[in-house]
Amino acid sequence: MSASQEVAMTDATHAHTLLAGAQRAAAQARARSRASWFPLVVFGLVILGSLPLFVYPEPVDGFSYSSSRLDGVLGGWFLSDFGRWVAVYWLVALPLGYFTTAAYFRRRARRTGLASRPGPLVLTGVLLLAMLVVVSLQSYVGIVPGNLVVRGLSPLLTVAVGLIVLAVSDRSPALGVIALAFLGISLLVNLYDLVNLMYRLGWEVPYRFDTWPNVVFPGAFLLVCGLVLRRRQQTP
Amino acid sequence: VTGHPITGLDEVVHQRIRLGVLSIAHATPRVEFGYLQETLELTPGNLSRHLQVLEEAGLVRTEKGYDGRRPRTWVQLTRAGRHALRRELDHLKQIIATVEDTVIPDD
Repeated sequence: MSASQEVAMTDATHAHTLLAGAQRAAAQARARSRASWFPLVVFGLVILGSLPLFVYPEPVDGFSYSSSRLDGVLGGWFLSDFGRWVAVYWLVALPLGYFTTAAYFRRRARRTGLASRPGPLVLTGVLLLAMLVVVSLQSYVGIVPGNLVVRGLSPLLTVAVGLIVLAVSDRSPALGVIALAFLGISLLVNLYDLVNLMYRLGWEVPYRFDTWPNVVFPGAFLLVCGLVLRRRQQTP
Repeated sequence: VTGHPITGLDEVVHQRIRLGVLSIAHATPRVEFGYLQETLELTPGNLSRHLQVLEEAGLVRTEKGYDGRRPRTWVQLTRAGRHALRRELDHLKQIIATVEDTVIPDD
């Protein structure tokens, strides 16, 4: 090896050491700053917390669909007016979920010395929820496809999009896969009654709890994914 | 980049500690002084000097505040810092690639 080649080798070794050190420090900081398990658990609990509202009242003579526009998009079309309470629940619980997430991220940043970005999730989620409210109040028919809003679960789509945005800003492939799967699940439970599938499998669900599978599935999915991710993100 | 990649290196960034600071600051929106000090195994004075060099070059921004009664300094990468880091990493990769091409013979 010539003298110039030896110098080049020394430069390359130094460059390799610098590069490896920089990449290791960045990866460690990124891993330690991630707390994306938290919103998954929070929104899983928020969704499951809505279960008591999705109980049909005892059958009465005659049908009356929920008449308020807000109930229709946020709370669904049901054979009673309990959609109104579902709408109120989403309007209170989802912003509270975003607020809790932002507060947790801030607290964690103070503890670890590494800030993370709750902004993209919070902004996307709150803006989409606000858009859903505006659409509800302005023009009910035509803008939002009816099939997508009849079950009172359309706010789940806003959470799903928010989580996708968080996955991108966090550069987290694991969260990206979970968020995309949750978007698929949210579309499914908004468009299809899972109780039909359960009947086909021979599982009897009492009439009053017909909607529960559509609420339990997305809620439990987020909760389980959040707890699994928590283990991964808290393991050094 | 023209010429040997080593000629394109930025003296401010081409240094283990400062490159470490920029890499960590790039991985997260803001990083606290204490985390940098612990991770890079530096004394407060030593880290302060490196941060001063980076700040004077416009590559990082520091923000001082309090968490309760405890003083805190947060470090944030600037746009110029992001570009400088990207350039430095590209140069380092080019140096390694150049040596692999010229010194290590093909099979």
